[in-house]
Amino acid sequence: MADQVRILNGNTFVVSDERGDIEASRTDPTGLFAWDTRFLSTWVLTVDGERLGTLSVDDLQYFETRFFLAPGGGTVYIDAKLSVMRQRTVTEGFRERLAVLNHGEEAVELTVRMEAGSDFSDLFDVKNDEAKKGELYSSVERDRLVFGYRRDTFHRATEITSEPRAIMDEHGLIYKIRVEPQSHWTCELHVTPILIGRNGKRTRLGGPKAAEDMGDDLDRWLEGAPKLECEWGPLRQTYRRSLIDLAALRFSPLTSAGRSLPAAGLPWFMTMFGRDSIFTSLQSLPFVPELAATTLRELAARQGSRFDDFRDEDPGRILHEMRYGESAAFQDQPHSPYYGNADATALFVVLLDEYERWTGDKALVRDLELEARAALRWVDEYADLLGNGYVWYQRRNEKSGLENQCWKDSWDSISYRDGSLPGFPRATCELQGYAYDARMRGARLARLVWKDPDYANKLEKQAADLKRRFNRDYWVADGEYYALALDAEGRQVDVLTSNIGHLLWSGIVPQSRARALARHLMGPRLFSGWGVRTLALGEKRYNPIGYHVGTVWPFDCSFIAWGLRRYGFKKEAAQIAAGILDAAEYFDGRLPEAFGGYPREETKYPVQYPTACSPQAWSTGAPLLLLRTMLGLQPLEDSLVVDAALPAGIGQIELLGIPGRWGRVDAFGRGLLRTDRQGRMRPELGTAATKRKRSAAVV
Amino acid sequence: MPTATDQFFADLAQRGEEPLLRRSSGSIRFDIGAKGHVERWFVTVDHGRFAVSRRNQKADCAVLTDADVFENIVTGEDNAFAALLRGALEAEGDPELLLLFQRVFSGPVRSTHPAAVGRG
Repeated sequence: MADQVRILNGNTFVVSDERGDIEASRTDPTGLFAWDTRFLSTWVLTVDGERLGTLSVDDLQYFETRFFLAPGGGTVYIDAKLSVMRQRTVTEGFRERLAVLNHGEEAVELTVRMEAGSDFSDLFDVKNDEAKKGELYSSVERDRLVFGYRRDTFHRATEITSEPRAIMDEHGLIYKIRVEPQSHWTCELHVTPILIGRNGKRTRLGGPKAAEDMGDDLDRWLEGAPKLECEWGPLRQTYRRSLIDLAALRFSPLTSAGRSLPAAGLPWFMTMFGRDSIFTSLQSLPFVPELAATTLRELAARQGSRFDDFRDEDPGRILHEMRYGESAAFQDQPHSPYYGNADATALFVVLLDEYERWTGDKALVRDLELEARAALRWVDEYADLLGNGYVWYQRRNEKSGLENQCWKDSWDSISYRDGSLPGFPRATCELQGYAYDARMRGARLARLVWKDPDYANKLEKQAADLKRRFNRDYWVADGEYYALALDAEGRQVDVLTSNIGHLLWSGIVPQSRARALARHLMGPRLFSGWGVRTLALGEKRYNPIGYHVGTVWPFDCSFIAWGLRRYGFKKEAAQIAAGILDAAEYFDGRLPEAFGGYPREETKYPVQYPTACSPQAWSTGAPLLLLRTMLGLQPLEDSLVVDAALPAGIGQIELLGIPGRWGRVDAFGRGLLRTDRQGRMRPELGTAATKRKRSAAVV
Repeated sequence: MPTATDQFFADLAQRGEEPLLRRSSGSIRFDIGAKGHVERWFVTVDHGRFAVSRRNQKADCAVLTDADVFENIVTGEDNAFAALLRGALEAEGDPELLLLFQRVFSGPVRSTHPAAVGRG
């Protein structure tokens, strides 16, 4: 995956090599993608039949890149008399400005060729190497080169136009040009994805914004977010990186009138996901609350309304994943949308309440009353597959549905201590926490906004009852923590995992048991020095680079830190923040989805988990939530409580202009807490004493 | 013998209030059938209350599809959004209203969810 250049606009994105060329194989995620379809798989520039070499690549913006090239690619010698510039901007497809510069003293005559082609792969074909079932075509129509794909009524096309006009054939465009000395030749190409509907109607699959507006839009976005002043430079960089990546990850569904919500990640997950969009909205509430509003509205508009086994849809259920490509269209995949998750429905109510606490926007809470009630009903009735008061999951789509419908969704993430896997249905512990929290928060909204105190009482009673039973059934007495799950027989799936941190966040833990959990979370089995491992060291399936069985997930850690603060463990929360923010520095401020669970003193730097998805929305949101937990920001009616607890060495932090129902306020904190150093670990946070290895290793 | 499509619109007219659409007002035109054989219905939504008419009127959005595709959607054998992606159904105008409206289509007749078993 080295040397790939990625730019995007909503769910339209281009992945090319560092020359700007695209030569996609069937399973390779390069090309121009829009709405989960690859619209361009070949895009190769030659001058006089020769490939070009890269002099430099400038990432101008997340949606714009400039490539400086010269003939003589692949050889040591580069002809300095000629250079080529490609400037590419993602629009509704992309626009590319080509310039050929003659630095010599004589005029040159050149043949410039752009080879082009498209295989119209569905994103899932690329992932799974599926063969195409329809017919591909290409044609030259007057002033445009058209590639198309047809399967029954499904019809997509790519149009390529050029100014000045090119000589076109079915494999590309040719320019016969003459460039005077010390002069240049330019042209502009447009590549546009088209959906061809019933009766031949053509619709442009537009990105959310025109290219001209995007620079202004990013400036406004950064301007609207709180300003971070701090003595520790890397945190400033991480904060800025997070805001820009979050801007890049914005996605506007067709129904949102241009409003955006966070997509899950680039390149595979540039779409709406219930869980990821909600978690990221929660993380970013103190900074850009409008993301939460759009997430709530759009998820509500697609809330489940019937039983549909193929989509694992139930009434009231919040969707898991939405897709727009061929596999969804022909129902080879269930993403139209797919509902198979067991957490987003409760989290939807959690987000609605948290959103109101920050913004005071009661109108939205009123608007979504029915959806919130339907979600709570799902938690209470339809998720309770065994009728014993817990949230269970078991897919009904046995072919393409998800087995594990919690955030740890890989096949081996849920295991007993002996390494064996439980059957289905399963009831993981954090789902019960979310259900508890959703009821408590739903009760608050019922009293405050919906004016239904009876309903509020009922929800609180259900929550109290759940808390009591949960603490009886999930508590692993010999280990003093909560089991990862219950199996269908009611037995504890008894491994020690990071999930116990989410339970603190949800508030289902009695104060008397919280210290034991904090000890585990900060102990050597779970805490790596950078963050909390998904599965504890010493468990049978523990693997420091196992996806959900030993790696550290920045998103997970950010919610654990929130949970620790909720129970008053300021120092512990600060230590997690210190570890994750230290790790962020190694990734130039862009935290990966996960990194290895190796003890920090062994590797000295965080070992990135090999994954193609970056930036990832909830990793992008993690530093934001950690800023919130370090500063101890808590909305209380119309004021914002600040109770900072910063790790020593971080210096002073000022977060200026935090938006909310109070207008804008500032928060200050100073690093005073001595977090455990565990030998010579973590010496650097906030000091410039030692120069560390800059690049993060990839396993 | 009324078709499933006839039945769908007849039921809609009798449906009373649909809470899912209580915030929505507007009208949708349905053009069902191939060119030259189009049957047309108008559904007006007024804060969740439906009115169905065959009389020509202005509409905020339109759904255009073939008779068999629509039949499959109203009987739960096909999915409206998948049909839209497939190009088998076309939607014009206010997408929000269309999105909300598709939630009134029933799902598949059979489901193995414990709460759905025995439903028909």
